[in-house]
Order: sequence, then C-alpha cells, then structure tokens
Amino acid sequence: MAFEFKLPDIGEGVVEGELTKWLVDEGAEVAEDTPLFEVLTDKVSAVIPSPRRGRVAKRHFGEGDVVPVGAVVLTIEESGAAPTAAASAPTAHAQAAPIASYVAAPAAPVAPVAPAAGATIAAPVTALTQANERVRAAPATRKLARSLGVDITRVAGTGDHGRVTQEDVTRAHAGASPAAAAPRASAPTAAVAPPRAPATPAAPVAPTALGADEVTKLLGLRRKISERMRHSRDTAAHFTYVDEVDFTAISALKDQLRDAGLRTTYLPFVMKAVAIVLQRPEFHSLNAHVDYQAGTLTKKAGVHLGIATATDAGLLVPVVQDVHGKSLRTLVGELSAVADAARANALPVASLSGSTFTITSLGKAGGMFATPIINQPEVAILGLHKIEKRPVVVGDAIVIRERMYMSCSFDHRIIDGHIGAAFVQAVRELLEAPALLLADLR
Amino acid sequence: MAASQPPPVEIAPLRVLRADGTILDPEFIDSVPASDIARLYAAMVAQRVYDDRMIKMQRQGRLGFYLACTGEEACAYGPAYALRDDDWMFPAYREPGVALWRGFPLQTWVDNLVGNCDDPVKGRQMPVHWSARAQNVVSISSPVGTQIPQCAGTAYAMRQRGDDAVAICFFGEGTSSEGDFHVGLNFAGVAKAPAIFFCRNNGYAISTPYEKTTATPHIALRALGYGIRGQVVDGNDLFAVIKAVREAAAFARAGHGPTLIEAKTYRLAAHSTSDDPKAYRSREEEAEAAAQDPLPRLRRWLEAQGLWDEAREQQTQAEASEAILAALARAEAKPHPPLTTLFDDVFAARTPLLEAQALELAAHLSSGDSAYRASGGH
Ligand SMILES: Cc1ncc(C[n+]2csc(CCOP(=O)(O)OP(=O)(O)O)c2C)c(N)n1
Ligand SMILES: [Mg+2]
Repeated sequence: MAFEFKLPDIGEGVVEGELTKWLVDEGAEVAEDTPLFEVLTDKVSAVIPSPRRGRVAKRHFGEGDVVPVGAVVLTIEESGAAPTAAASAPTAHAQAAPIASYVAAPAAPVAPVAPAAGATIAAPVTALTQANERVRAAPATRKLARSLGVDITRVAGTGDHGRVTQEDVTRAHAGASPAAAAPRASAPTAAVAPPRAPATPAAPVAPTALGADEVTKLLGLRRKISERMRHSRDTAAHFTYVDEVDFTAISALKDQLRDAGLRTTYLPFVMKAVAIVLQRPEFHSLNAHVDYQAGTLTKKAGVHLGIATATDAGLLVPVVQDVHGKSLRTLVGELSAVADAARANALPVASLSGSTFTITSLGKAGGMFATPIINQPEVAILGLHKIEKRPVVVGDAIVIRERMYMSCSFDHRIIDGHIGAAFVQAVRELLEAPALLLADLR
Repeated sequence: MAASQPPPVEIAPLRVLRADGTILDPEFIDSVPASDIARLYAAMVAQRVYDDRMIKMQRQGRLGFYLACTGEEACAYGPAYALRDDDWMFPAYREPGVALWRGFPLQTWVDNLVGNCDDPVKGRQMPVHWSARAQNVVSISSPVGTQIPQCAGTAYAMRQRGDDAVAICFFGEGTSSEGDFHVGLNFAGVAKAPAIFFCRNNGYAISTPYEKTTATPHIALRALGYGIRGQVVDGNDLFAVIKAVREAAAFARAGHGPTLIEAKTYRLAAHSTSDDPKAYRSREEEAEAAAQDPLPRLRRWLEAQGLWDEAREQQTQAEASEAILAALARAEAKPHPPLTTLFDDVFAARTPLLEAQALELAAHLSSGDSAYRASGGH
C-alpha cells in the first residue's frame, strides 16, 4: 500500500518549506517516528518523523527544493498494514493508460474525453501548452521579441532556470550567437525549430584526468548569503572609498602588549578607533540602520560591531556588542571566543544579529583593497587589508613604514561622499597617532 | 478613612526542595502523603511523554497545532493538587495537567486535539483549546488574559453566594502586561474576591524575553499596586508550588481576598509547534535552565526516600506512551463531528438566518454532488 506523505503545515499558516536535508534514502526501511527529512520554514526548522512504517519508495523533492505545503514529499510503501478503507482508492500509478492518469476519478462513468480520441487529440495540445509554458521571460523581453520578429520559443535562455533575457533576444535577432539558433533544450518544438547541429565527428580527444562537472544546490546558509548580498547590491547605492593608513605606531603598541602578555591582532585597535569615531555626533548616521520601506534611518546609541568571519558553512557575521564601552583586553578575549565558536560551528544564533556597523578583514590574504558589500540594514562597512612594510616619503626621505589600505563602502543614499571620506580620515588619524586613541579610550 | 494594613508581598522565592533534591522545609513535606508525591511525579512524567508524542503528531501532519508545557509541569500539577475539586480553574493553553489531574479523560483530551465527533467542542476550536466542564475547568480562550477577569468575576460571585470555594487562573508573565490583568486584579482586590492569580513566569512570551515585556523585576510586586497579597515561588519546585497555592487558598477562604503568585520557571520547549527558539535564545541559556528542571529535582528526592527508581521511571514512561498511542489510534479512527451541527451552540435556538443556512446546506448535501459528507467522516 503506497502512502503519500504530504508536507504538513508545521507552523500555522506556513505555505512552503525548504527541504534542507534528507535523512533517509530511497529503498530504506522506516518505522513510525523514524526521522525522514529536515525542513526550514519561515517560522521553524524541524525534523519530520515518519507517520508510517514501510519502505521509502520515492523521494519527490531534492535537498534545497522549496516544497509547497500539501505537496507529496515522499511515498512510503507500507509494510504489513492492511489497506484501510480510506487508503484503498485506486492510485494513479495503477492506471495503465497515460491519459487516464490525468482523470481524477477512474470509475467516473461520464468521462468527458472519449478514450480513443483522447489518445490522438491530447498529445499535440499538451505539446503546445508545454512549449508555451516552458518559455520563461519577462513581459518586456517578450515585447522586445515581438517587435524584433523573433520567435521567443526558439531562443535559448541564459538566465535563471533558462529564463530568456533581453540580451538573448537581441543576440538571436542579430544571429550572432550560435546558441540563439539552437532549439531550447528539451522544449518539444522540434517541428518549428531548426534541427540541432549534428554532433561533429571530432578527432578522439585525449583522455584527461578531469572528472564530471560538479553541481551543488544552494542550500541553507549559502542561499541566505546569496539573497542578502543580492538584496544589498540591489538596494544600497554603494560607493567605496579607499585610503592608506600607517600602522607603525599601532604595531609598536601591539608588540609592547605582547611583551606584557596580551597577544592581540590589529583588529581590536581598529574596532576601538571605529567605535570612538562612530560615537562622534557628526558620524552618528554611519552607525545606523536604514529601513527604506518605512523611510526611516535609526541612528543606534551603542556601537555593536559585526565581524565578518569565514566558517566552514560560509560567511557569518557574529556581533561584538557594546564595543564603545569595552576595553581592548575585553575585545581581545571576545574576538578569540568568537573565532573558537566559529571554528566549532557553534556560534549562538543570538550572536549573529544586532550589529550596527561591520568590519571585514581577510588578514594576511587581505590583498590591496576591495569593494565590500554593506551588511544591511547597516549603511557602511569597513574592509581591512594586508599590512606590510612599504617605502613612504616622510619629509624628504624615503622610510620604511607599516602600511595598510582600508576600503570603506557606504550607502550613498544615506551617506554623502564628504561624510564617508571624513569618517575614514578620522579613523586613520586615531590609528596613526594612538595617543589620540588613548584620550577617548574606555 | 484610614487604610487597613495591606497584605504582604513576598519576593524572596518560596522554596521547599533544592535543585539537588534535598529539602529546606521538612515540616511542609510531612503535610503531603508520600504516595501522593509519587503519583504527582508519575503524572508529570506522563505529561512529558504526551507532549513529546503530540509534537511528533503535529510534525507528521496529524495535528494542526500543539503546545507543550515541558519544564512547567509543576505549575499545573501542583495547583491542581493543592486545591479542592470544587474550586474553579481557568487555565491558559499551557496547563492541560490541571484537568488531567482532576480526572479529565485522556481520551477526551485527545479527541479534542484531533477534533473528532467526541470532542466536547465539536472540532470548532484550534487544538489545545480544550474544555473540561465536569472537572470545573473553564474552556481555554485564545486571546491571552481573557481568563483573568473571568476568574475574578467567578470568585466574586462565589463569595456573594457564600460558597467557600476559590477560583484560580493561570497565565504567563507576558500576559500579565495585558489590560485584562489590570482589570481582573484590580476588581478582585476591591471585591476581596477569593481568587488566585497564578502567573507562570517562564521567561518568554513566544520570542519576547521577560525584560522586553515589563520593567518590574518581579511580576508579584504588582500586587502592591492592587493592595493584594503577592508571593514569588520557585515554579520548578512542586512542593513550593503546592505550598504557595495552599496558603493562597486558605487566605482567600478566610475572606482576606486574592493572591498574585509568580512562579519562576522556564519554558524548556518551543512556545508551540509554530515556534523555533533557536532564533532567539542561546543553547547555553537553555542548558542552564534545564539544570533547574522540576522533574529530575523531584525524582532525586523520591529516590532518596526509596519511593522511585529507574524501573518505575521506565514503566511509567512505557505506560504513558502506550496510553497516549491507544487514545490517538481511537481518536483518529473516529469521524469528524457531523456537518449539520455547524449551526448549533452559539444561540440557544437557531436564528431565522441560521435556519435558512442550515436548510441550504442540507439541500446541498442531499443533492449528491457534494464533496462533503453529512455524517462527518474523514
Ligand atoms: C490578546 C492576544 N495577543 C496576542 C496573542 C498571541 N500570543 C499567543 S501566546 C502569546 C505569548 C504569551 O506569553 P506568556 O503570557 O508569557 O505565556 P507563555 O506562552 O510563555 O506561557 C502571544 C503573544 C494572543 N493569543 N492574544
Ligand atoms: Mg511566558
């Protein structure tokens, strides 16, 4: 007896969930309550236990698929159970004729389609519908295709999920791209599309050690990162300002601290400098959250710094709270705790939100400069790069100093250019003359 | 007019049993028969088994919704035990134990969750909104706080009638910041109603932590403002809860008026099946709270008395599991309530409009092309 397990609404009015992980394979035997899969919805992430005993006959979705509530997620071939009255209705796959499987009630005496005619008529209709449905394109793209006289069903789409883009249409119109002339893969439009070019009987290719291409789903954290990066790029008006900072003085301080038993990186110094500058009234708008829908900018009272951190799962931004009120020593301790937790994949969820400004640092791999993407709803982000000894002109002499570029991206909707520039300069001043940093250190 | 001496507000938490299972107040223990304590413990263990099963049922798509009381069992079983069967109880959604302890049949509770034809409220309520009239437990309302003025009014009515019963209501600390809390407590204070306002302070109102719902360090302090008695109690200590409710009931029966009890506890589980606490609190915090879990604490004491052991624990869990699975199997086999009852119970007699709608439905059902079945069914 096949039992079709439909995704339940596991959270009051949830309409879909992302299947994040299968916990059983096809063919596996499951008992009641055996964990089947993990699902992530808007409200909860949950492990779904099996309601039945039997063998997993089919998994209908893959990891990363978004499953609508009510859709059949997996079929369990029940073992031992006598078919119940409710479950004994003939199922679709028991029907032999392909047409009949689309007719809901198999026993209905007045089927609207005569079986004989159905077989011949239905096929082309289906093919046409499919051809139309398969073309994914925005209305503007379709309009463009019509105006250029391009048959959009014959254009190979290069966008998401094979979506036909405006460029695809223009290229097809110009006949520039060989792809444009080829039929859309798997679209049943053979009758109208030019035949696919026959495979060239090429000379045997020398075997290489390359394996097959590897396709992976964008799951969980990766998907979240993608969405957030895209959203930031789509909404904020990024501008990036770069300047070079002299770290020679900080470097000396760092060595002194090390000799006194406090091992630290440059980051806590930068954090303190940033916090001090952000607390100045003229830079309050940089320590802020923007809500464009509500049309508001919330200048935050405290400075809570997001520290972009690489983890095995992907980029996370744990938050160090209240940087404005913490000592350098405290920051050193907290940063190392964050790093440990990140390595162990044990960052508490609560530590991942609430930042008011973000610092991203690639350490030794920091390169020269970059164009960091703002961690919304914040309005600015500071990128730190490689510190190295560089020749610098001081007075009329060339001397060797420890130098680093800082790249700071701002949301130009909120932050004017001169404010952003002044901010970076203010941070630079504190870092180059740590005495000034000390004056405001808390 | 000179104000009379206000009743005391005690914010040092009442505690009888320490977290390590040792006793602070041996005198109190003497007032509770040991066999009762073992029964209470077994009932709380069973409750946890039921909760666990119901969450699985919901994840399997067999229940629309569920809400567990994991970690807060003492706050239901303690008061139910401390009170008399003729005392009225107005629970929130997190205290099925108050009715189950009074003999509300497990089967009826499950019939309600499933919403079948034997559900006393005929499948019209969301799961968890059960009704146990025979146990003097008033139906659960979804809007939080509704039960507080209801309890105050019932207590006042009983006093007017000369009954010596009391009324108790249960609510969360989040709910204590709702307007109904003020209405109920203020009225009960003025009327010296024999009411007990039992606030389960479990730290959260869904995802909102305590500090974001109120600036007072103790909910019980609010009793001062109403001129009523206040008492903080360790809500993870079954004995302390029993003691606090007994004292409040005696105070009320003696005509001195209501008590606001604040039981400090922790919601170890999610708010409900629609909630995921991973999004708003840390694993460390949960682990810390789990160390205060009322069940292991009581078990330690019972074991020290030779009243409990691992075998009894296993047996209790197995029996509870068997009982709940059997009740669920029966509940799922029962048909839905008949569709034709849809028009009953709001008015004593159907209004003409309802009557017309009932006739229309009957005609539709008998026309043969209806997707529904008049007699109920699956
Ligand atoms: C009047 C009202 N507002 C909001 C809700 C939604 N709601 C349901 S439970 C809940 C949290 C209540 O928290 P608390 O009183 O602390 O009780 P707990 O759930 O912690 O036991 C809320 C806000 C509701 N049911 N009724
Ligand atoms: Mg609460």
